[in-house]
Amino acid sequence: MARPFGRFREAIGNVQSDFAVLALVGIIVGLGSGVAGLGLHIGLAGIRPEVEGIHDRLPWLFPLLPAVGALASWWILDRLTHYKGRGISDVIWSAYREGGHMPRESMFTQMLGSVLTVGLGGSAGPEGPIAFTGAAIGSNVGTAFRLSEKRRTTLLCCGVAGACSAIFNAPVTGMFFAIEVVMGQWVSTQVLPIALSSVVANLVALAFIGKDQTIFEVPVYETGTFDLAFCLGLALLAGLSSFLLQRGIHLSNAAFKRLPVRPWARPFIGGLLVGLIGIALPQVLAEGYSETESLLNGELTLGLWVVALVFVAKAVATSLTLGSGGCGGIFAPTLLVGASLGTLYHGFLSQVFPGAEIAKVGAYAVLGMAAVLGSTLHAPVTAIFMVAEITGSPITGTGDLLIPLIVVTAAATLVTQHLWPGSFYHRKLEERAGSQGIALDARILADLGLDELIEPVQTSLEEDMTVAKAHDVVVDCDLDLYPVIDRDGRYLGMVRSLYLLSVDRTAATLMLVSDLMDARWPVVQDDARPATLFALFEQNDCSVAPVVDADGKVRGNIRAESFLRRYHQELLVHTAR
Amino acid sequence: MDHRHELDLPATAALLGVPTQAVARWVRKGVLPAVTRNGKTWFDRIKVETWARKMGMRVREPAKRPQLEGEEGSPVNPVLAAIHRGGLVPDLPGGSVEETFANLVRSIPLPASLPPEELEQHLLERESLGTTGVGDGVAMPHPRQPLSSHIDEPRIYVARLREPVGFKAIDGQPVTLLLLILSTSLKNHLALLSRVVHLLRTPKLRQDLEEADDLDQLLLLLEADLES
Repeated sequence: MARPFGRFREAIGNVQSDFAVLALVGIIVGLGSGVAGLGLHIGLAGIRPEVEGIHDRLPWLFPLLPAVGALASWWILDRLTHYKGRGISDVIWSAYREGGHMPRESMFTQMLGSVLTVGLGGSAGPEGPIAFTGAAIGSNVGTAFRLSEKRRTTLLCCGVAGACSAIFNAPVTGMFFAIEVVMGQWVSTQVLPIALSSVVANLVALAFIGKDQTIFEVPVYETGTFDLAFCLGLALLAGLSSFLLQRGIHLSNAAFKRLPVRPWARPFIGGLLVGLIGIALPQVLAEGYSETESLLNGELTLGLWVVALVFVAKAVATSLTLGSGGCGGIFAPTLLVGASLGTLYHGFLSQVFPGAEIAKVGAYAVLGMAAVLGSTLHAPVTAIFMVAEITGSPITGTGDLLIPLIVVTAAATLVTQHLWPGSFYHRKLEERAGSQGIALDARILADLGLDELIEPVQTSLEEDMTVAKAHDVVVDCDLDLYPVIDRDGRYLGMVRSLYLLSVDRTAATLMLVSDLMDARWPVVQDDARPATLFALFEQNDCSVAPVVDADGKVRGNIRAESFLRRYHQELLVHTAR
Repeated sequence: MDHRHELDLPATAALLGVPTQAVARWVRKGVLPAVTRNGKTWFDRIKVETWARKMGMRVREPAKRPQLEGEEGSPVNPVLAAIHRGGLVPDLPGGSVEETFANLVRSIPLPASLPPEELEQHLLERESLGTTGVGDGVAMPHPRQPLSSHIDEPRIYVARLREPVGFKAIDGQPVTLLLLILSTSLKNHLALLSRVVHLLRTPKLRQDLEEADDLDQLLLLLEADLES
């Protein structure tokens, strides 16, 4: 690396104001993620007409395309990177547990993978991968500047915000997605860099795609009091659908893992099945934006039964694509699932209450979309802003649809939260963290190394030492407990100095240290996780435990008191603003 | 830039009383303010102290080097080291305990923060609780509280009395040899006391205390006899 950049980098790192650094570097991340979003947009736009051309000329090849796409993206992800991270949950993991680190190649692997999976018809969205790519860009810019982990994590969120902002043309959604889903907390100093990145990325995308490009063109809908009441029913159904969709992906994933085939065959089989569904219902293929848009506009050319079929088939196809290891996000599929759910619900309402003044069917599609999205992500705020932004209306221009939108999204999130606690992403996160969990407590304990807790023991007693000799040692050292070792220095047990000293002089010359030793004292292996220490001290009701290495040598003591002190310090450091 | 208050990583860890790994991690995370120059991390002492206060951490004085080591690093008997830092008063006048103490505290060098009258008062207070005459003509006067705010390391002063003084010693014998023990902590007080008692039990060492001409000779004799 050239020296001038090294100097510049040091200078940047030494700026004490988080905001100054993050605002500057956040803009760079915004530029990068904006370009990435643009790249994905162009990639998908380029590949779609080709695929449709193949569809027209060689219809029998059709089911093979999603399979080939999934296989190719699997190959890219398997061969080009050793990193196991695949989606938003891994971005969150990186922010929570790895100081925002992501490998360099993540900046393009997911993007290529999703162009292939989604472009060739896999039922998934491009948003997950692009958010992942944005995060990787933010992380690697942070690494290039050698920024601290805290700053790098903020940049990672900047990348997510920028990427979402660029791909959806939705700067507010990008911001809220990064804050609500990835960061999980609201830290005011970090909001501004994220907002800057989101805006810059949006400007980059707009400069190339054009100003009035919104994903969905939707008219303004009027709603009434009845709709607000009916929203609650829709929320219930949306919560349930979201739960079933997540459950479906989960089950499909488990089923594919049990399939006795080579790993590469899984995405292929998944893609093939999706392709077969696509012969009958081409609406479920790819991200399904055009299908979603016609539902949002209330165009029911094929009738409600087809919508019902699409609703089920889209959920199944998404479960197959994502469960088999295809590369894509859950974002776009939930939009179509939600929109069709809303449409169906409207159909049901107009049958049951023919006289009621209810809004147009398109309005319900919008509401259903927001509800399913919000409850799947467990991020109602993101969903509300997202729907408001991508339906092309200025934030309040959704008309009076905004109020039912908020109600239905919040209520649906509540329903899913009750059915299946933890968002789609947090589920995966918890699977990865295993028994440690992802709570603050687990993060602190994962940070603390056992080495930091070990206090060296200057003095140990040998088992064949007389108690009288031990007296001399004990007088000089101010310890309550001493480890006892054998001639080869291996740990045998602990002895209390109180016991040693309570032996009188004459008896002391006859007794050996090993006579007074407690061999069942709890021992910590030096590869133990600090998380296990709380249980050890609690179960054994002791306050000191020796740490022993693989050879049985004593490496030192861990005192409950100093462990708690270190834990408390880390807690304060972690939560400090 | 003012670099006078700068600390490196181990010094900062010592200041905060935490392992170096923890400080390194806090820097990596970006929670503890630090600057990098030519790849090395530096801390501003004032900033670290402010930060530590915010985090509820106690700031420690830099640890003092343990002084129980000889010049080549070999361990030296702590009693010898303490006598070396103290001194020898070969001929101390005084007819009573009070007179003896008054003369003793005025014939030894004391830190400015500790006036002789104060030390005398401490010794008399301790004596009034019970004799320090351990028998066999020896008394070991000492203050009740460690003198850590006045001296850095323990000292022992050896004083031979011009005439024997009745100390109400446990064996009733008049005292001819005083060992004034000034400790810096309860821990080293106990360790010194037990070692001194041990030393006095050996007749040869006792004889050295009685007969050496000056401090240097005393130390040489004690060292030689301790080894044998």
